[in-house]
Amino acid sequence: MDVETRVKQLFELITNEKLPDDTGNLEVDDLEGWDSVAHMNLILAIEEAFSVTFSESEIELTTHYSQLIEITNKKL
Amino acid sequence: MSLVTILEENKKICSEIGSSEVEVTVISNWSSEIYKEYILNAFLVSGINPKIKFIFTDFTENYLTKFSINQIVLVLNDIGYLVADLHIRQASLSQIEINQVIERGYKLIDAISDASSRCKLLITNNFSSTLYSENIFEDQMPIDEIANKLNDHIRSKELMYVDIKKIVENLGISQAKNYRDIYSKMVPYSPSMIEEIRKSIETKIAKTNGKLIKTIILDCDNTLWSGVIGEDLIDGLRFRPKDRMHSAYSEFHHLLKYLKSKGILLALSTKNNAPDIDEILKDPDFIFDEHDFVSIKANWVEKYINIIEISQELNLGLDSFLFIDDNPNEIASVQTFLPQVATIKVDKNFNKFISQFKKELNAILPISTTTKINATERYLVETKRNQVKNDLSWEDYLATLNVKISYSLSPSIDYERCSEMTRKTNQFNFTTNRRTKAELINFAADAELDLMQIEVSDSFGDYGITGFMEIKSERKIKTVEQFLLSCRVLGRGVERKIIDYLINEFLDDSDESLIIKYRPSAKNVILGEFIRGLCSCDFDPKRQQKIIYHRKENRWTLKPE
Repeated sequence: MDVETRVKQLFELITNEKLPDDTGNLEVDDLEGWDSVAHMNLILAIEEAFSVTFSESEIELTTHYSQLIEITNKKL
Repeated sequence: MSLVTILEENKKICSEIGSSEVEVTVISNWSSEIYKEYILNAFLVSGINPKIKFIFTDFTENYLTKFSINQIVLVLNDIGYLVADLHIRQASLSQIEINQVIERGYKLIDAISDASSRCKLLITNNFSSTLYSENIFEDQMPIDEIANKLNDHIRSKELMYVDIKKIVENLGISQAKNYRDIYSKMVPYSPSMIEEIRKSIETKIAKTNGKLIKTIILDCDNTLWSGVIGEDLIDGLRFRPKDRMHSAYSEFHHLLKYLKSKGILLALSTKNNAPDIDEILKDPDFIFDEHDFVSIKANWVEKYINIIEISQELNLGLDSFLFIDDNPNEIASVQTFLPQVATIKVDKNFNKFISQFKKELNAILPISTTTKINATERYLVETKRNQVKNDLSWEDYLATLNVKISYSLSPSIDYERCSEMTRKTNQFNFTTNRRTKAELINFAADAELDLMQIEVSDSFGDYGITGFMEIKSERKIKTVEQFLLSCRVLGRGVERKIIDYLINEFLDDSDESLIIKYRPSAKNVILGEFIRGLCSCDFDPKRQQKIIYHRKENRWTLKPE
């Protein structure tokens, strides 16, 4: 399964929100279910799913959905 | 379990769970909310539907006074944040500062201990300093001294706690510590560590909720010894001091003996000829003898059938059984036919199995073992009693038993034991209300509520505290809100004698009626027969109802609720 599909699945599982079609500017707190706790859970789930580790600075950079995909892709 | 597995499991259970919400408050001096799915899971898998509120605070004490008896509270504090910047300054604290932190910790633990008597259930944790000191220096670091003192203090209190110290020791610091988030996000524990904490909380809730292992059923060949009687003959079995595998098997035997001393019953189910097993049980090299087992099934019938028989002999539910066998087919058969029975397959590498078994011990061991009488002895007495029963008429049998029942009212009752019975008794239990010790102590303060402890003995032995009631007195009516009896005293007229006592001696002259509440559960169907006999009327055990004794007319009626 490609990164985008899996991250979308994880996002929807954790936030209980349907991922909008346009995720270009989507960032933490734009959706009710995507708060800081859900965001940390999303990071943990991505780390587990792809056996990768985000550094502190990378977590700070991934406030946008598109950045999550981008950084995850770079790590694989 | 991984976070994703936990999330999926939580979603599934949430969509199926029917029970009403229970208020759960998690007070923590670190950002525990990040792991809320793990904490939620510990409750959901135990059948509790929690409404969780997280309080992130440095001042736990301020919140501990605010709980009611219906609430469940988790106090999950980490030593690194016990006072501001302790995790950063821990290496250079002066002795005065160390003493101040210890003093602060003592007060906190005392406040937690006080709070535990005011809420339904309180679970806290002890401390691991090695996440910070990392065992780098030979000398004890200031934070180590603080943790040791506080852990001693926690142990001295009757608190239910997650053993963080042990979890870190078992996982190792590098697995347990959250190196990335310990400073910036105040999350000291890794997902692996929180998974262990989740398991520990789950075990504690399950035990409080009445889910306990009471009996271990053991296979023999390649489980209690290395070798197969049919192939190696008795002399060829390898468990004796001269055998290479002696230590591993001996350790397993001693662990089983330890569990037995804690009140767990042991039984055998083995596909062997009975005389062979008798011979081994007389072998001076074997640490067990026949008296160590409440039931020995050495035969060639399917093991699940043996397990059902043992369950009937002991009057214990199948979900309180653990079955241990090396044969995957036997394990699969028991899992298929008796899914309620927990199973452990003995690994071909016996040392690996021992390690796995030790990990399970925490889940197996009961919370408290206040029952004074040796459990195995008690069940063996029961077997002897049943033999006499088979030889006599019912009336003659009751006469020979010389049953004696004594009653004590709160506050002169053993709250710990009474609470334990509410958690463990499933069959002769009218309402199946689980009670913590704190709840019972709280109830005892209610002037209209009597808590009654029942002790039973007969000519075969003293069964100790085996019954419990909660009786409310209101407007010339006494209502039995809770009535339970341990199954080991049933079948000798005890239950009827207790009702007679209530009617003839416990009711006041002014009381007009006695009401016994009944709420059906998956396991209390045996009450149907008793209630039908009491009321001489049709009784549907599937309906919640009141069983009412009308004093004036000296008759019983039923009123559905």
